[in-house]
Amino acid sequence: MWKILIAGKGGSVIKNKKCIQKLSKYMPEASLAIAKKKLEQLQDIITQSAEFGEEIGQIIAQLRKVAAPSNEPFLFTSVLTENEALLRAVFRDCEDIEFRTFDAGNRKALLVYLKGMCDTSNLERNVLKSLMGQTSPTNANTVNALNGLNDMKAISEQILGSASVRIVKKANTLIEAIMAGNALLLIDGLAEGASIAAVKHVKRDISAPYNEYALQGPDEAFNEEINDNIALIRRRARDTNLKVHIMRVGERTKTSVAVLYVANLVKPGLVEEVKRRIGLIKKDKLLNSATIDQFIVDHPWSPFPQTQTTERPDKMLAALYEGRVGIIVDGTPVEILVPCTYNVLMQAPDDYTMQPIVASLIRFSRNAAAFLAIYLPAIYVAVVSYHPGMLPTTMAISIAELRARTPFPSFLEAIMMEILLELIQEAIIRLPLKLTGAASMIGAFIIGNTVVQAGLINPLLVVVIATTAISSYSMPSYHFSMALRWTRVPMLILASMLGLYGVILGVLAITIHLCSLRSFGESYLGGMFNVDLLSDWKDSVVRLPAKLLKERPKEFGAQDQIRIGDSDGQSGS
Amino acid sequence: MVKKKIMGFMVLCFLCLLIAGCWDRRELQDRNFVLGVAIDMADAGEKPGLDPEQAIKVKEAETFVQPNGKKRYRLSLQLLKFATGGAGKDETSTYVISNIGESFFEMVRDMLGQSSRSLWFEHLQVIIISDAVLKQTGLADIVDFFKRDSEMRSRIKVYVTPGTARSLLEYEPPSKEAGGVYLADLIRLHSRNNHIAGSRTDLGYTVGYLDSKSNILLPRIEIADKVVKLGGSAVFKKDKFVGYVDGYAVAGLKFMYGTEESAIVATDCPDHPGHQMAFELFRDDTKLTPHVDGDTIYFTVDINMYGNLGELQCDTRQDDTLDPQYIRRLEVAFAEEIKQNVLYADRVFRKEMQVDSISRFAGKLKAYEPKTWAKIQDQWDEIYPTVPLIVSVNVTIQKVGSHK
Repeated sequence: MWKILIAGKGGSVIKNKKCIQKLSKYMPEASLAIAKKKLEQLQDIITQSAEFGEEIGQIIAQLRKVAAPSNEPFLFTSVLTENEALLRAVFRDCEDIEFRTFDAGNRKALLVYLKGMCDTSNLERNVLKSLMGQTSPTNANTVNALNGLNDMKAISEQILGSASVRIVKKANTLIEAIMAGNALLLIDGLAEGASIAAVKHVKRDISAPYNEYALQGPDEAFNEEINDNIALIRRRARDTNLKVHIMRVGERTKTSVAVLYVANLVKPGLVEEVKRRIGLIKKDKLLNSATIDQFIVDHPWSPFPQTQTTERPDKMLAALYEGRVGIIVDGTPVEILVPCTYNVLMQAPDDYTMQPIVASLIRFSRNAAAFLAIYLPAIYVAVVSYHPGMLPTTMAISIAELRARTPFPSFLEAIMMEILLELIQEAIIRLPLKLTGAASMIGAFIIGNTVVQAGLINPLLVVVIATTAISSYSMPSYHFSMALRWTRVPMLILASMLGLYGVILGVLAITIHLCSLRSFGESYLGGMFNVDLLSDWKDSVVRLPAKLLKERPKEFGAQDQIRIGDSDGQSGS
Repeated sequence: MVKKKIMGFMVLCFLCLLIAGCWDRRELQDRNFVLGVAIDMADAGEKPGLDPEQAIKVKEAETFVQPNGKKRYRLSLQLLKFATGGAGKDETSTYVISNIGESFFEMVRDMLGQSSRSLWFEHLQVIIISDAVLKQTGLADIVDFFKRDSEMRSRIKVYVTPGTARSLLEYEPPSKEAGGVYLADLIRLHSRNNHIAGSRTDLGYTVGYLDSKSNILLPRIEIADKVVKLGGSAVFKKDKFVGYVDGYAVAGLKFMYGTEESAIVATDCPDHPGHQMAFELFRDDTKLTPHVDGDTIYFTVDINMYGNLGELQCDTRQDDTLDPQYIRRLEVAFAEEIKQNVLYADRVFRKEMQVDSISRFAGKLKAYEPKTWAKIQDQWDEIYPTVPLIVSVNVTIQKVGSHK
């Protein structure tokens, strides 16, 4: 068809073009979209078949002898040597795995564990000694007893001295248990294994929080070990309603993720939603909680953090008792709290240790700082470039005199200053600790002094940008202060193009965005302006004395609103 | 596809910003601050220190071709000179440019030929009008440009000077403030200096009075050598300049209208003539009331004043300021002085000038006796000089500041 069209009307270029444009009309399969789609499908098939090939190779290697269900690599047999061969096939090239064969009574037994992840002295004491002890002649009775026991359950109940023993028949579960640091016990003649908990691996001690320091408060912070982290929470609340649900995320790493909540407080449906969103995560590996964060938030493109992150167990516990849900991720000392709103980001641990009236003033100035951090440079540029009539005369004169020495328009000046500031901040974060002092000193000299003396930037702008930076540093949440830092750049551009009109447009856009932003169903900023939630101001705009904070924040819809009173802690326990 | 459309729309919006944005962006330092405006007759207010020949040349250079009119006025602008020599090296100072013509707007635009940056009036502080101009034409003609232009602000101060207005712009205050700011700030404490008619005399009120055809008071400013002084007032009947009244009449007028917030009343001590004493007014309760009795109209003003004894030069002569009788005598003396002051003001304004200042009497009559007002409002200008004013003053001294 195409050839015919070209050949038939090849004389005129314009006609030719028309023909080519219409080609997909005559031949639907020639359309670009369809071709792309098909190409994608083809790529999918290729990757899938590559995966298939890999899997098939593995299966062939392992299951040459034994038939197994489709989701299991193999089935345990009652012959120990066969089992060992199968396990060795699974763990081939994993040279940190230890296979320990020994005699238990008159039977052969096998202990399999990862060298660095297992407490060997524990295994020696509680497994090897109790099982091998049976061979000594003095214990003839127990030898007989052991020989008489024909299932793993009985052995674990009567002979093994370990605190936690799980009888497992499924190979998959067992392999996972070994990878988590448990030891696997196999005994000849039994087609099942015992997973013995003896996990012991290198980890960091509990230390003080690095980034969320509080003047007066508990100084324990989460570390990388999920069990320690849960223990830190548990230790602070002897409450059976505090529930822990552990999930596995990451197709390859199978990282533990714990969902913590207080059963009789949390808003109905919230926990299910959190579990659902975590369950939907498709990722090969999970190295930090931020990945979870990006998968479960509603608006990943917003600069504003929609989950609260904390290093502090006390902060997490306080949040749990307000009806929120905590997510602890194995391997990360920074844990997640949802839902997250502007109000909770403005709360710092120190607010609760200070006098309420002092804390209220600080809360107020913190809110003002959030405003300044976004809008101050924009307002400065708008006023200086478009509306200097708004300034008091003497101030206008002094600004004009300062500005007269600098050659650039105020917008360029502000952008230059912002870039300089960002560079210094970035350098200080990236540099080794010993060099940060030098970097900040150079930064301070460049910004504070030389740039002004060189006539590149006027001193007032330095004051404005420094105020903005200090304002954004005063945010309790680092992610929120980063969001403020991000937001002020588009604001600056709007202000430089449209003046105060642009600033107001920006204020509207940001306010609307923040009010329509939802974190697990709760409005990000809207709660602050909602008349129904006005009572939440007691612990958001100001901070009342603890005695008067009788109710939980309504914002999070806790089932039991009363914090202090009879109904607390009664229901459901 | 929808995504592409949205992206395209956003790109379009951004392009609009790039093309149409910034259209009125003019950086602060690219504007020439006009801090003061002086209006003189064309043949006055030349640049000081020129010999006549040069003056003619300068005049020719400054001006422009004007096909209509006679080039009656000289407009001088006081511009800010930026101190660019680093902090503290140069003080803020100003310079003056001027032009001759008839339309103020045209003169301002023509003056761009003398200025490297745009002339910017949003921080204009003061308009000084020479009385020579006001004798030629009405105030309304002069201020029309200033009330119409969008860069003017209501709080601009308007002064009238008997000399050349330009010389006031040339004046550099020793305090090194910008000249226009200094001149405008002179009137700021008018409520504590009862020789200045300061309340409701800025451009906004003046224009308002012009619109409502009221009579107007404007502060009078004078420069002699290096002395600038604000005092007394220029009196306008509608927009026509009538003449000046002195500070004493202004004080009396303020007592009469109750517009003073604080005042010093000084008089001779009743017991020791030749020794002055002063009363510092803190609070007053003044009531100017019209009365209609048949065909007769008369006004009463009841003044109750409360304040402190601020100065008593005869204090060492063993008079006991704690003695109520003595204080009572002082109060009577002060009341008498205030009464004389009010009567003086009444005589100056009603008899000599025949101007119902800021149309306060007319306003009172209209408010209290609307029927009478309806009948006489057309003849009010003839009736006003005949309307008697009955003054009663009561002074209470609350604190004497005595220490023994």
